[in-house]
Amino acid sequence: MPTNPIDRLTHAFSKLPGIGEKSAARLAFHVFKGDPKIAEELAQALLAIKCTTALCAHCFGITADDVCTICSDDRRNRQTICVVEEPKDMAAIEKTRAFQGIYHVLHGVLSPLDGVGPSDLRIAELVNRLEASPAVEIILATNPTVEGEATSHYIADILRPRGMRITRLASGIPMGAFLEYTDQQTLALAINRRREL
Amino acid sequence: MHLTYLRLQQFRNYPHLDLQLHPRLNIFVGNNAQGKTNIVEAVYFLSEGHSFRTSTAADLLQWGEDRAQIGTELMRDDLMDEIAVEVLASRRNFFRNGKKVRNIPELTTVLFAPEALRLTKEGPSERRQFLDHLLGQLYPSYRVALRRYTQALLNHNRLLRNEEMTYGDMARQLDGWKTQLIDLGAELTVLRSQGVADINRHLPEAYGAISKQEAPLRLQYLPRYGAEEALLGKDVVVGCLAKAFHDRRDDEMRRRTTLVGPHRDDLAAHIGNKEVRHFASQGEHRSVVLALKRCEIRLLEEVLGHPPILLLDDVASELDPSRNHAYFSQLLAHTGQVFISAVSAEDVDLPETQEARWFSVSSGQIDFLKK
Repeated sequence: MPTNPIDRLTHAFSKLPGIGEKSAARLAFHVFKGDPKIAEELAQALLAIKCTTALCAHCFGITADDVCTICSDDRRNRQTICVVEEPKDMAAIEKTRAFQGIYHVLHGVLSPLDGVGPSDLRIAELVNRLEASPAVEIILATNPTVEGEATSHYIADILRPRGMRITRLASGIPMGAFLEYTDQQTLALAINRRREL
Repeated sequence: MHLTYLRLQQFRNYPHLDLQLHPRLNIFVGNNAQGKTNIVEAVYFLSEGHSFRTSTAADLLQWGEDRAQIGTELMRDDLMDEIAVEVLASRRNFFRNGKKVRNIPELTTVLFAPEALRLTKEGPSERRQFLDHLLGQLYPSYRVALRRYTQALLNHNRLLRNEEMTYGDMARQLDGWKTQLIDLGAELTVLRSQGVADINRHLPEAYGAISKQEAPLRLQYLPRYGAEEALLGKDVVVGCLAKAFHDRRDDEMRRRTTLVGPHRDDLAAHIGNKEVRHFASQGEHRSVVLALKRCEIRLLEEVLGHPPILLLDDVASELDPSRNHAYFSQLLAHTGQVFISAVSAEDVDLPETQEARWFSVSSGQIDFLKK
């Protein structure tokens, strides 16, 4: 006997990260009871993400065309490349609108424990890219985990002979946060790396 | 700080248990395998989030049950918190006043179980563990640094063991991990050195109360690299570790494991100029461990501002009568709450006047015991 449609949708939703059995069932019933347009929009968007998206030929971010909207935007500063782990990190930085340069997505971090080496990341592609059009500054914006630090360090070592400016994201107390709620490692780092006023 | 009651549900051999606790001494007497240690274990679990007897959470559940619960009320001065932990086979959930929390940092325990006696006898990893646990409680940044260090170390070792990589490739990839091993390693070295100095500050008093020995007991921190530098601060140790890594690079590649760093540190205890590990008598070993535990309590007291809860699992049976007496009279100077398990009431040598609650434990049944 085939599974009933509600269970099938619940099952499909529950495979998504951060969604448990109960949330999945709530979503499924919501779609069932709601406007058919919601279901249609969802179905089309879900299919489209696999069928019509690809990785940008330059930065390896997600794009609907060969080259993403950022890489093809003439107003962006091509002299500064921000290196991130995942497309979602690129989206996070884009939201700030504080960065006018372009990106490079590694699609992971070095992690010998998980069997991830340099050839599994888009590191050679970054070097090729710089070969074709040199940049003035590389911002290494991997996460401040031990894996992220090791990856940044590795890339910095490779790029250093090229003589460009290589920077690493600063870490410290979140803006608008209270010191008492800041985790101790961040706080200790912020104290060690305090700046002159 | 003390617990006013303890409630166990489906925990070990207790389907349901409700105990009213004494704010000072709680003594559980009974034969082996009746459930004394399970009480001590439950209190330990509330503070540490894991057991000292097993790493398998399923062992903690009553047979056939899928969850256990440990509940208590924690009094700090005039503040009262309901604390509970739910133990499942694959995880545990802490609750403070019904709200889910990550842990209960204000509930601090010091455990003393017979296994602690291995501290001065066995290899260095027991001693590092002792130091790691204590420093983790004293300095929160230590725990974070240790976790990151361990992660970097595992990755560094895994790379070294990769036999398909060329020398150049490997050297390039090792660098990013090495930089972090040096930085975090220096931080751990400095904190360990500071921690050992703190312990030594309390050792004369702690050891003097237990042992009639004239010769003083001292603890010595033995990092392979940076022993002297540790006193000069982190930057100096960074330089020292970096040099050691550089010097032993070929050796490391050949032996395919990380040779430099605090994961290879040791501690040595000396009575006078005699090293405890090799030359001490059985009785001296015990006194040394008891003295170290005493220092642990003192240091936690300094940092927390109140005494930690003391858990003594079947320790009295390990001591001879004269040490037993010295030990318990010293214990009474501890003003915090204490949980003691013992096979017989005679093992617990307390003065008649001491305020305490005695319990008898027999196959999961707990009754008040009039002593």
